[in-house]
Amino acid sequence: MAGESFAKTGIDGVVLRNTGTYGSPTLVEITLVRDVNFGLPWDFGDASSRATPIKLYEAVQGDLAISVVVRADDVDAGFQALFDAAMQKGAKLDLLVLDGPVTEEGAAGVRAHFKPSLTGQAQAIGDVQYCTFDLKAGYHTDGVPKIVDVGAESALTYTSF
Amino acid sequence: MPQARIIEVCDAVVAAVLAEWAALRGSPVAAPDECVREYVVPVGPEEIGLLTGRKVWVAPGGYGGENASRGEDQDQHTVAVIVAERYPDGSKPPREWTDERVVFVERLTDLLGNYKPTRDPGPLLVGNPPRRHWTERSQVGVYDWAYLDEHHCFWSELEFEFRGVR
Repeated sequence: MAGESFAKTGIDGVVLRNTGTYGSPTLVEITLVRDVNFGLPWDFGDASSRATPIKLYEAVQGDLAISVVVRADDVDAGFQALFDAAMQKGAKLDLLVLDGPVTEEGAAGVRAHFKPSLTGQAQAIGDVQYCTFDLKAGYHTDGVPKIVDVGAESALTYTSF
Repeated sequence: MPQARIIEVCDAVVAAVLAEWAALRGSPVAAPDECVREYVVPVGPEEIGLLTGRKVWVAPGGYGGENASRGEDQDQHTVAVIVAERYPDGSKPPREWTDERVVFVERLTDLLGNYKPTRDPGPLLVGNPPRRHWTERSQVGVYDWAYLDEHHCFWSELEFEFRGVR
């Protein structure tokens, strides 16, 4: 990846919500995000043959495993969009999940129409309320999940998996 | 000149104490009683004998913070409060007189020690535009034995930690 070498911190990652159209997105950061956990584990099929005694594998399907922890808020548009989409069975959000800001060349992540799943809302008496959402990539007529790379001058490049 | 946030918290505490005290008295707080923000305690041990009225001094303790989310910080502000009152004629105060001051301190603690964002009594509103703060911790020294015994002065030291997200 291009860009300079430095230690990336979690707080610099961004979760962006598209409030425009898929082809001409307006990306707005959900600023109340606290923690994000990002993973892409692949399912493997056995591709072994007699050519070698070593088992061979081929990736067949990837399962985007993304969870976000967000401070609960009655008026923040980003949190409310996640919460409302989590409450409605068919609702999805066009989100970009990046490991750095869109101004940082070299930041990368994914874009998809995600179905938020509310897996927990801690309401302990001594704590500030946070919600944990699991984001599952869903089907949408606009497009399938894409890899996102941030280039020079915040140019976003989308690549198929 | 804009105030430091810890000073804004102290000023909000002073306003809250004055309102609660006025409600208890049935009239606004007037000299020689007072509640003010101070950096140093105005009365040293050698001047205790000159103290008149009930004093409530509010001072900044310390502050810190942590990330509440990627776009917000959670501030933590510690405020020190001293309630001081010398028995009027300087003699040893009767127990009932001291009891009344202990009740006063408890009333202040019930207010300052229980701010919540939405539940009663509501938040401590700090600054302009107002920011909601809640009480995270309170600690009360009921009275100081030495001040009461040697100077016949009721002296109570309290500490509160307030938190807010900005």
